[in-house]
Amino acid sequence: MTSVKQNVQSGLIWRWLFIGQLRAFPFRYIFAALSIAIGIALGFSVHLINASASDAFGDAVRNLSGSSDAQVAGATNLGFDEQLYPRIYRLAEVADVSPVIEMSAIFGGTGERVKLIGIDPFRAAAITPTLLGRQENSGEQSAGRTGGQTAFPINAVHLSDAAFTLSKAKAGELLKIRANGATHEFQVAGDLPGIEAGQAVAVIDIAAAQWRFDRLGVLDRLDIKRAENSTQSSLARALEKMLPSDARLSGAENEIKKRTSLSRAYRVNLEMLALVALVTGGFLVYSAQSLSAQTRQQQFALLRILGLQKNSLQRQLLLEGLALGLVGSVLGIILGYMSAYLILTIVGSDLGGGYFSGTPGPIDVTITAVFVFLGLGILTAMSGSFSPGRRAARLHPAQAIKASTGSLQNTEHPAWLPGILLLLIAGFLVWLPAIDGLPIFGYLAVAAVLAGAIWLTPWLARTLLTPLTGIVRRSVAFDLALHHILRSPAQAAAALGGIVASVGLMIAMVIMVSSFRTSVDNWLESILSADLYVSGGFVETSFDPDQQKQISQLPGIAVVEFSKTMNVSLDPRRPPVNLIIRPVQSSNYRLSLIDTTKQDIAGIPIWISEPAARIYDLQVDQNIRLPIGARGTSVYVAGIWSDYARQQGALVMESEDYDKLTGDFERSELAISLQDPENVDAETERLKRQIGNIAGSDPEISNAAGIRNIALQLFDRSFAITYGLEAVAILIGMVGVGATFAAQVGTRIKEFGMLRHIGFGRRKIIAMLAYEGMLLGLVGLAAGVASGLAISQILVHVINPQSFNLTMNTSIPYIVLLGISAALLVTSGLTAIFAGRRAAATNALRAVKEDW
Amino acid sequence: MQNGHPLILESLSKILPNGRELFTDINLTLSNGEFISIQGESGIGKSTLLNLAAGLDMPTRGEVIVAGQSLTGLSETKLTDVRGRSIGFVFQAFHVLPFLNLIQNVSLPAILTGDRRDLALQKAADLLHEVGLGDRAYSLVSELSGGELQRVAIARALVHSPALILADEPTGNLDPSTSSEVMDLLTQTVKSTDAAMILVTHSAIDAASADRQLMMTATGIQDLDD
Amino acid sequence: MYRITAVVMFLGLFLSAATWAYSSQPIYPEVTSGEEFAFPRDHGSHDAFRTEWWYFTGWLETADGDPLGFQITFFRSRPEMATDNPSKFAPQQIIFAHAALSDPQTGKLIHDQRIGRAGFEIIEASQKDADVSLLDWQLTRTATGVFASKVTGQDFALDLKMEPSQIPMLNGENGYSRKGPKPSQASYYYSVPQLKVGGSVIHGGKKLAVTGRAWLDREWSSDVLPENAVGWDWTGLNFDDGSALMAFQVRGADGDAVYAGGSFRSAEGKQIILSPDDIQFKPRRIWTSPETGADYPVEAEFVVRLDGEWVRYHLEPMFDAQELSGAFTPTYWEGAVSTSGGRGYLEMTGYAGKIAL
Repeated sequence: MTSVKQNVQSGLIWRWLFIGQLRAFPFRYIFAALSIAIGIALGFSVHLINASASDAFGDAVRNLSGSSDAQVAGATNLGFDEQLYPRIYRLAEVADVSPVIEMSAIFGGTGERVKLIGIDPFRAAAITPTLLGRQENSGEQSAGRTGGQTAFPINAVHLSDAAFTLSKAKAGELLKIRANGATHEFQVAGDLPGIEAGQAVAVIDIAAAQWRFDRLGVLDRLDIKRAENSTQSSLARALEKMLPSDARLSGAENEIKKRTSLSRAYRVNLEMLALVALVTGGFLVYSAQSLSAQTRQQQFALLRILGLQKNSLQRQLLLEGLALGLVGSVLGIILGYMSAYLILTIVGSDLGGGYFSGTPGPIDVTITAVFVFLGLGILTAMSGSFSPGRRAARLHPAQAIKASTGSLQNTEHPAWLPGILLLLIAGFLVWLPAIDGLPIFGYLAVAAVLAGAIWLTPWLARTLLTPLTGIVRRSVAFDLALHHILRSPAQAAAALGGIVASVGLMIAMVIMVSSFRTSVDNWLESILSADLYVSGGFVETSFDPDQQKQISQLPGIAVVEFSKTMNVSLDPRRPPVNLIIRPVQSSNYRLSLIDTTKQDIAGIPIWISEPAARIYDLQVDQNIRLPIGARGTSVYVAGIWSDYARQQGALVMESEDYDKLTGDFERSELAISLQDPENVDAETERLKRQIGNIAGSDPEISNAAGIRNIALQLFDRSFAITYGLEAVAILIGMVGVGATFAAQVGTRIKEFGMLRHIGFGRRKIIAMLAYEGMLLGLVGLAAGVASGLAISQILVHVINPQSFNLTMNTSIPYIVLLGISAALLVTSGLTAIFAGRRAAATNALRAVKEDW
Repeated sequence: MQNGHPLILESLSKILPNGRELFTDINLTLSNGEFISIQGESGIGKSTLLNLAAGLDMPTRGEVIVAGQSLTGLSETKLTDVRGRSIGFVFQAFHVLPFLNLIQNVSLPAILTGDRRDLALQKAADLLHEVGLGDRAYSLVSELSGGELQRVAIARALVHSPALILADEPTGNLDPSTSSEVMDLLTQTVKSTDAAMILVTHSAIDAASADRQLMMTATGIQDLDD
Repeated sequence: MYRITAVVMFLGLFLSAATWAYSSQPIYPEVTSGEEFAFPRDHGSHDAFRTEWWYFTGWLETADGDPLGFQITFFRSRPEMATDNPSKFAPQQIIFAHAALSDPQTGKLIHDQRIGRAGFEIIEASQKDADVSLLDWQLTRTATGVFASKVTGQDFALDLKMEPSQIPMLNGENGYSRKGPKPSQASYYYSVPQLKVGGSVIHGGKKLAVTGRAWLDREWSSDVLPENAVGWDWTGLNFDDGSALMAFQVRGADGDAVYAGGSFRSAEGKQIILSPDDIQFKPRRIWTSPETGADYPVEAEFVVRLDGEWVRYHLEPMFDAQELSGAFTPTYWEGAVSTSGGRGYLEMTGYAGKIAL
């Protein structure tokens, strides 16, 4: 009964004490709450961006596929035989089918890209009414009684709002559309009220699409409505049984999942990094609470002697953590929302990753997410408070009340065994494979390295700094600073936890990004061997054999080679891979092979990219079936090449093999070696004109240097967010240094007073603190750099291969690292001086009398 | 009002973890209102004896009975409870919480033992008045001198009407004139209640104001009056 | 010809928008007199002509003796579009079907429809015999000459066998039926009255066995109505004695007939061709549609001169509310009617505002 009563009463006391503490050391608590806020803000904003992006994508897919129960899509963008349409229609499980042609197209006037869809409006009316157009002059919604929706002029095009904007066309005007190498003029008949804002879609009649864009006899998609008396799974079974190899089953949900998984690894990387930042915040709370508990050691002892129960004491410290966590999390959620909004508006919902296009949807905040992140922040802050609280409660009150601040821990010898164990565990974890495509164990290894490094910090401090005592000393201040740290390595460790975590993380990310960028740069250099590349990169440019011949006879060209890129689905649950048709190794085209067959195998060879090898678990010499031709084609893996461009995987097939297999001689891209490579710009202009005349449309021509610049620009854009994270990590590191020193200096007012008594001037005290700050910074830097190097290797060799499916070579940006190190040391010293000036400013003589 | 004697020490022995025998077989009984002083050299075990009496340390042998309650075998929680309820402390280093005002500091023990807040604050106000700081109840600690701080500590030791006051060198940090003021105040204030008091001190003058003067030596504890 | 307009209406935009874009337009054959019909070939589709239909109307009776009216129509239309589009999805032919069920007990007419471009054997009209597939809706003619049709709409379904008891009745001049003052404004037109119906109807969630009598109209043509026509009134009546009457008038803007025609065939098979002067249509009772506000003369008289003698056929609707409006059709009234000694269907168009062509 008394203890229940005491809870209520001690709550009152605690309020007095907490408010008193807040008044006395506001910065200590503000830093702790801020570090939680930053971690939560990062995690929450990345989460919000993810949620909004996948929602936007899901809406888009559902919007375009309407209420279909299932979809059959071409395994390649060559489509599939249209006779599949009646065969599927006749299945007992099928109620209705809408055949669809789908192409990437370009508006003639503006050159803007649009998704071109060909439908039979009569069939689409029942299944995908969102694709039906509205006649501009009728002003009546498509469901109107006069049948506006079915009156689908065969040469008309209906445009979504976004497509209207991109095409700059008006209703009734003629609009040139280019797709699959052909251009045709359509009359803009009206809009597509069912298509969501931001989606650029043009809908034409399916017969016109087949005829005008050379797709006769094939379809790209069938939208299927299930018969009332059948189930979704029986429909899927019936469809799968009859699909030829060039068609695959894909439900709308499937499509969303697939596209989302494409960028999932990228996003998880960010979200996990954000959470690591949060954990760093947790360490800062731990630092702050440890120091605060040390400061208040005698207060706690007094309260215990006066009758405060042990449990109450620990609970109260936990409650302090909760208060910090709550304030920090609420702040973090607000900051997170604001930064998500800014990022979505400025960078776009793909974080600059180039995965999605279109305008971002509204930010999708769920109550659940808010509470999860609120809980995470509070939990982190409370765990940071747990151990200091327990330590405070366990102190012997009679000893503690007499002991000087922090002195009880001075006798501890820094233990190194648990730290080494943690590092060994990390060493073991990096060998484990990804779970469900996510490098969970890799992240655990990162956590283990961080924890191990922090554990080893006191040992490291002693080991690193002890030799310094032997050095001839000229400065008493330096000597005192050195001994203060050596005397209390545990206190130093508490102070350094946050610094080590943030420095380690920061350095790891700097090294990872630099390695990635250097590898991409080298790779680009190795593959871009031609002078000029011609194409839009999409199917809308196409050269038939005759045009190819004309182009190769153009003057000024030393060697020209043709290629083609199409999408091929190897597994319906995964995004399609790129199948590239081209010469494998020639003067214009090269592969940077990392593995190649040593045998002489009969059959058709293909060369697969490293991501493809990892995703589909393929080795050299292995046989696979490609969905080319109605019955598919068996090919073998002749080599594996490194590729940073296509995360979903890519395959290269020799041109002659493809020609023999398909009889399709059309090519969409070409690579040119010039006779006069010095004169690239003028030659580009001339060839652009001449090839344009042959192709009947303006080609896109880029030179090797231009492509490399664009690629690196894209790279930098997609890593902009990681640079942002780095900046935040630096911020956390500095906050850590600041908070730690503010707290430490607070505990030592009496010491300073004593020093003043024995003739130490203010300046000397400040110098001492500056030395201390720099020595601590040095230790933190050493531990941080070491753990950062280790973590960067985990990122480079474990996490990135597991989530992006690509490897890279480590490249350490020494200059950047030196800069960071110098900045950290200087900041540590400056913060210490700042804290010291405040300390020295208080009445030191009087402080001797005080025990607090 | 109390069950039996405020404090009984029976055959008390304390051997330190390093094997040094601090004292053996100490017997001491305090009656209500009795005031004894203990002198002795530094490190002889005076503070340890106080810690044992307060249940902050455990004897190697023997028994401690505070206000009729034997401390032997009590749980940490129960010990804290007995301590908070029956004992008041005055320390050499004052130990007045710097972030609280005087009345908050004084009312702490009463609130911890579960008194109603308004009653605790009222009592604290009365006691502050008694120690001559009635008009500064809401001042902050930093505005006080050492003597004033110790007055606050005396008020705090009495606020929850303990059976026993343990004062460990209460004048150790004070100059001589303040010392005697504080000693007088302590003696008078404690005498005005029914509480017994043990005063541990180096000062023979302070010790002399006690009802009984004890001297602690390596051989044990002797009554100086004998 | 009422049906021509129905189809042309919904293809209106199709035709107009397609015209400017294509050079190779389809050539529609002209309807001329003197052509001989040949069966079963002429039960099948005449793909070259602009429009064609198989139009069944009739009275049914359930086992409980409750009457129902029904209508099943398959239209074929050859749109004006490029004939050189090689895509199999090119709309060379559009098939449209419409079915309705009139129930006097509920006083309601329910109907549904299907539409699509011919192709892939999913949607098809045979040129050899009556054999039309439109997704899940079917019309066939069996080896024994029985017409069979299965249609499933929302809330109802019809599965009917319709057996001719008489040879086809060729309307107009041996099947050359004029619609206007110009000779080209004509269609090939025959009717099969006195079809004996058996089969089942799903209605109100129940499957009901039905018997009854029906009428088939077959018509194909290329030209449209006279420019000054705003609507028409048509009836086809099966008499209990085995005789049959078909009569129509095309109405102008002033409500007067622009053209009229018809056929009467006695039980013995003697056929009388009715010229415009032989037919008068007289409204007797007006019903206002609560949905569209259109006024229909749901009770009316066709006064017909048979062998110089004027005969009055007073038509009573099964019930008033047999107006139709659908996504692909104009709003019109098409309902089961009875007259003394006979039953049939009456169709009236151009009452729900002016029909825009």
